[in-house]
Amino acid sequence: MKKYILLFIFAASFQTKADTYYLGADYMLSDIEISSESAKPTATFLRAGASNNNMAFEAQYLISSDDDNIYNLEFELEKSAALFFVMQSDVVKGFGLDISLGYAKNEMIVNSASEKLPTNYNYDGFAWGVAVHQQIPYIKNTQVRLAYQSLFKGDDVEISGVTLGLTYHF
Amino acid sequence: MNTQLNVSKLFSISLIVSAILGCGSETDSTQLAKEVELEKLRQEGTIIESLSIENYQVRLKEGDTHQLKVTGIDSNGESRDVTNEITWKTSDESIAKINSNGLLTALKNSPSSQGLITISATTINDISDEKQISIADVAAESINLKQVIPATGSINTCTPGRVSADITYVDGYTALNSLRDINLSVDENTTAKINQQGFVYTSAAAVESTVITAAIGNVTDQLSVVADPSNLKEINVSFNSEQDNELNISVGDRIQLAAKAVYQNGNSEQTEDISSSIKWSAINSNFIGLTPKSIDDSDSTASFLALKPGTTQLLADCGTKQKITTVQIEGDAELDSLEINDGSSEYSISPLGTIELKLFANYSSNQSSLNVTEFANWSINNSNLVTTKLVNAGTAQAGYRVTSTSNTLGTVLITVQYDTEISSVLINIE
Repeated sequence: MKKYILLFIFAASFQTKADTYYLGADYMLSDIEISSESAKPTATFLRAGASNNNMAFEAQYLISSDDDNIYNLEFELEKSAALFFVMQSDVVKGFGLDISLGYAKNEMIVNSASEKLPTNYNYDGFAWGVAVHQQIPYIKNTQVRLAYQSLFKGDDVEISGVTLGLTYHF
Repeated sequence: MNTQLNVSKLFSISLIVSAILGCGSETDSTQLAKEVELEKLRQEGTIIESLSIENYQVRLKEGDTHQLKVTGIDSNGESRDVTNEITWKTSDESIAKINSNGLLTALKNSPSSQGLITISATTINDISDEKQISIADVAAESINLKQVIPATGSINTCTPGRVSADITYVDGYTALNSLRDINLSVDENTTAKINQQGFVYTSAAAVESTVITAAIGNVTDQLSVVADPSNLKEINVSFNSEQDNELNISVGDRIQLAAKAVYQNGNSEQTEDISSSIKWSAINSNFIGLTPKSIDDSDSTASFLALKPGTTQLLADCGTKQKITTVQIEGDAELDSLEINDGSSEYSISPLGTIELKLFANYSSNQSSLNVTEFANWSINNSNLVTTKLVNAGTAQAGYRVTSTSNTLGTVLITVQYDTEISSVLINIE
């Protein structure tokens, strides 16, 4: 609960109201790393944000597209919800760079033949990302965006991914 | 305005990062990580199905360490060292601890009968073995010295043989294959040398019998080993890892030496490293300075340093075989002077202190110098105030270490001769 209160205080500390809102949709090739092995399930996620003075708040929600195996274990990034504070560079000739810091709640499903092994795993914590985006010529207010995101890094498990998608600014 | 914005941004970032970093939670994934590793081993067929702790029957005492080893047999039926793949435990962590690599440290002597404590090794798939190890400070009662390499018969001359021992203590415990606390020595009338790891090095040209003595205080045992050169077919030497019949080098070059022997046993041939047994010599020792391999340091190598221009022959002898290599040395080495360390005529050390002396030969012809410490004749002129030791032999950092033996103050005159020059230095113990 403490984290939400802190995030709320932080959000309330914004001195001016947002001047741009945006929506995005991305395809993610995720990477779930455990015991030096990795599964690469795919996922799709939606983003919505409000930016002002090269800063933005962005919420994103991810849903699984596909699963992947590590040997006989089937890994799926079932869903993930995250809230990011985004530092945005100035846009030069349509090109810009974003750095995101935030918090992600991730749910992973593992299917295996072992009855002793739990199916659902939750990994919540610090998340960060770096993205580059380029304005698409002839399509007004639309950018193509390539990003790397680290959604969780724990003692045994690390969840990250590379995303490619579009962003539309209202 | 911008400054205000940046401060606001930095404050915001710090706040959000600190808030978020402190608030993570995760499902315990230890079992999942283990399952992934198990799946990997199953797929590779390398999952361990049985294992056995080896070299456990030893007697340690407080402060000793002992490296344990575990061999496992995997689902392919293959045996492998799994010492670093298992979870180690001791039955009493206050008496002995063991790290993940199987290194056991005796923290104190065990009060149990014969000082026994239990150690266990468990694999990721819960296959385990446990053995008892003894930690007690009890006197040895008898030693049974035995030949282990080769297990029986004579040693091939030049090839390292090995001995070990079973030690029975007064409390009835017997440590197997242990040389702990044992002092090993060989018959001085033979070519054999032995180190404290039990390796025996021989080089005689005829069949030679050597008596090896093992001692712990007054408890001793003897074993006679025989070295036979009849299977020795040839020896091969290498210089800086390359085989040459003639070497062309320059003054100041240092060449690493190694040797291997080929043995003919019936129709089969086998090659062995004999770098610790072979004897190196030069027809004219003024041209090159030889440093033999130390049998007490497995990482050391034999080498020689080219000291003067000219041609000489390097001889490598072992058993009935000899290898001769012509060494051609080029360059100028007109000895101008000798210099000890920075050239001072005296140095001071404190009582029980140490100083390392290096002797440099200065050459007028090319204004260069060589560290010739190990090839010079040093003398402390019968002083009993210091002891000396050659250190870092075979390297450019070779030194003559002088150590004060007591709290007695005084002065020691150290003289050194190299080639035709003599130099000296005073060591003041003050």
